[in-house]
Amino acid sequence: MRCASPRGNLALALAALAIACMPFYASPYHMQLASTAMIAAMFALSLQLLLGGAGMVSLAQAAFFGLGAYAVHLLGRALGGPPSIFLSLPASTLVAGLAALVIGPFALRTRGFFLLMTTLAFGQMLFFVFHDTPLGGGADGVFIQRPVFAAFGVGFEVTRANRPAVFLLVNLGVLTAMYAVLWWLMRTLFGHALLGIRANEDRMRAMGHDVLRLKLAAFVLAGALAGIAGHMAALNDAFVNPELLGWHRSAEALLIVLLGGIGALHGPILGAFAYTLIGEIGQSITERQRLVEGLVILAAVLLLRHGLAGLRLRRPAPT
Amino acid sequence: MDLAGLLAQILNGMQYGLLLFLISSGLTLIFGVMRVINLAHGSLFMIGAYLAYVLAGATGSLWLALPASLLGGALFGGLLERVLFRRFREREHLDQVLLTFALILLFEEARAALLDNQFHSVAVPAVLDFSVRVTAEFAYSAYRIAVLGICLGIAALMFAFVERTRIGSAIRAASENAEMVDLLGIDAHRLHTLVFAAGTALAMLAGALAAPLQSVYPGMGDGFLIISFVVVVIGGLGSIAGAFWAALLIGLIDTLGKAYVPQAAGTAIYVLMAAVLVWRPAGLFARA
Amino acid sequence: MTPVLQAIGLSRRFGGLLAVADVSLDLAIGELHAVIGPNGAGKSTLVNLLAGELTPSAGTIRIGGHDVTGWSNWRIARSGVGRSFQRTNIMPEMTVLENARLAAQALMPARHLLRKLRRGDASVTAARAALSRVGLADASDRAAGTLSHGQLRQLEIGIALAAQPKVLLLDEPLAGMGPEESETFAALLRELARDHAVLLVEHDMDVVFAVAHRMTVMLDGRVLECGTPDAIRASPAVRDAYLGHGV
Repeated sequence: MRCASPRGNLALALAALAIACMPFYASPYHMQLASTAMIAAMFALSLQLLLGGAGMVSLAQAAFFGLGAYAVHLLGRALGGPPSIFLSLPASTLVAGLAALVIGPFALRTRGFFLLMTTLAFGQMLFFVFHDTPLGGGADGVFIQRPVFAAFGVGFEVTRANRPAVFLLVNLGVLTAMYAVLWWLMRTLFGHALLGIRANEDRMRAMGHDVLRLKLAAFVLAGALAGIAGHMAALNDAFVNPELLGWHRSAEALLIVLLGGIGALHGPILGAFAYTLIGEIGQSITERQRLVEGLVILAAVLLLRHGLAGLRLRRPAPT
Repeated sequence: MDLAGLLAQILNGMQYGLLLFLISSGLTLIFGVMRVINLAHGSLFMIGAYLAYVLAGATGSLWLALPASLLGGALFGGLLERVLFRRFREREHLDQVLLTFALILLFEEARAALLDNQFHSVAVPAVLDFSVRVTAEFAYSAYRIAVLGICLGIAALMFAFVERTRIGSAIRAASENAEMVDLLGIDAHRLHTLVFAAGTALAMLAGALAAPLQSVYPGMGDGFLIISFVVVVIGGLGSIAGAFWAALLIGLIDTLGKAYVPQAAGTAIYVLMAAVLVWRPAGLFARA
Repeated sequence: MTPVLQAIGLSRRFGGLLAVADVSLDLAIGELHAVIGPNGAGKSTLVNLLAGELTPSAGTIRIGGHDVTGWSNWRIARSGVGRSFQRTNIMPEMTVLENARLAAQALMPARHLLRKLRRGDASVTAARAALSRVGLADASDRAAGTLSHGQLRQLEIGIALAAQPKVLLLDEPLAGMGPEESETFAALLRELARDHAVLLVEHDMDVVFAVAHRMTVMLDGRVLECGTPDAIRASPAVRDAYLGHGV
């Protein structure tokens, strides 16, 4: 998986700047749309670590995303009031990461088709935990109180008026941080080992790498990042429901990564924005959202071999 | 301990397991022989159920629906294989996941366009609309007994076919070693079309049989899809016998669990799958 | 002196077939031990047993005196065993250097993994050293998939060397090579044997007799004979079974 060229990074930085300036020129609706796109990008980035990083196709990522979202609800219930974001964000990360740590040792013994099926199954198991039990308001979901931007009584009040702008900037900050962390990680020896696993897992094992442990580390980190994305989604929507954990969501994340380009770290960001935009346009044309989505998938898989990130490039140099 | 209730639940569990077997057997063959992931398999179940609903509504009886779903399923499956899945074979798993996911969406949308997104109930055929007295206190639905019988019959036929006929041994060979098929002088393309057609027919038949039992509704295939995957993992890839016993086991655990230990029922199956993955990754019932 | 790798009474069964039956041998640093025999003699199975790809049905494997029987392939690799594959098994889209570097990185302790990979990293240095030794220094920055067949066989050995193992298990490294390439390779093998314990499985008898210090002849899974090249060449049993009487 390559990182963006210096020109590409400049383009990304300019785009981030443009988004940061949205409070000056964009409507609240468009700012909310940008937030939605950025949260989708965070979710897709977490999956990209597994997919473009280590070559693992997982259908469980949505379960960790949903867990991160529900953690906000459960924390609020436990505290009897809205939690501080400085508490809820780490909590969501931890809960999702721990779930990945528990599921990982089982799921990661499998590869290919079996990995797909086991991640699918474990993800669904978590779905049923929230769907069938009173834990999270059951099948209909539940409205939650948003975490507050405060600690020890000192804080910043988010009002209805400034909410779109505040959330926009917070999401931008989180997305940038996530991207930066992954960008750094892929440059470390660990990141290179993951790429080696993606290229030829058997050879890596024969070389002496503890492949199971490496994959588990990636799986847990990816789960934790998905939990962060889920937290931001809960913050955004003030609503959680079991569908957040459903495997359809995982499949959508796969699509977003593919759409943006598996071969590039910034692919998920491109994919998320493109997907959100297509959804918006689609909604204005027809009510048949599933048709739009189905056609987008067909187009992405059959036509875009390297995703949007690969569109303008010549043949990339070997890594 | 309410014995009549227990007996009813056991029979329900077996019946659910056998329907699950019809669906999973197709899935295990399709992946075992063709090495293609098909997430849309559950949608075929849904299509069979809605087909039954439409035919039962039009003709007033379910009887036409059963052979129609079988035959229609075979034709539909053959068509899908020749037009789409043949091309999916060379693609990576990720592409197959997404393409078959797209199929799910398109099938759902097609159904919404042709029919609707509503719940519908389908009447049990009049001739079977009674209860059979098993003991003094216990009576069981005749339709459910018929479903049990039909599924067992099909299972027996499938087993005989796979174990005794030439095509059956080709299927078994192909599950183990794709190149062997060519060496045996069997046309791989035709084998794949046959396997896919059979799998589709079985899934649609299961849907038609299930329609009076649980109503037809959008997304009804989803639940069965996931559980079928669990069946395939536990039973072993490409194994009809494995799928049979695994499906029965899961059917019983799920039904009895929901009846007596509802909180644990949902997760019990996944715990079992996790255990299989750790200790017997080839499947509980896989050939040695 | 304890041999660095010892196989004692190794057997491996596949269903009804006994692919390897009661094979014992040992490897010492400075020695090149060749294993020869007709196809189906069990040579590749033996290599896979020693490398930890397969678990023995019976017998023991010791490395440096420690019992490692039943250890998986990556644990064996970490114990100082490097192996090359009969069928080239690399990362074709990565550079030659990266292929070797990943092998060099394998044995680094986990806490080093979060280090950023720089040009002067220890893994890079080790990889370059290994690639130089096998003669691929000039090809370092090429995509591994663009190498010629002979270069690929060199890379296989380079990868095995990069983690600085004590033992080298080489499974038919000369497969598919022409006569001049084989000559250069033979020189490389002789050179590697100076500071490693080398197990060489090969079919090219000219090369084997030129580089081996000791030889084991396998037949139908068993050891037919073990000794110096001269002894093996002269042995009537070996001539009857494998070499023929013209050698």
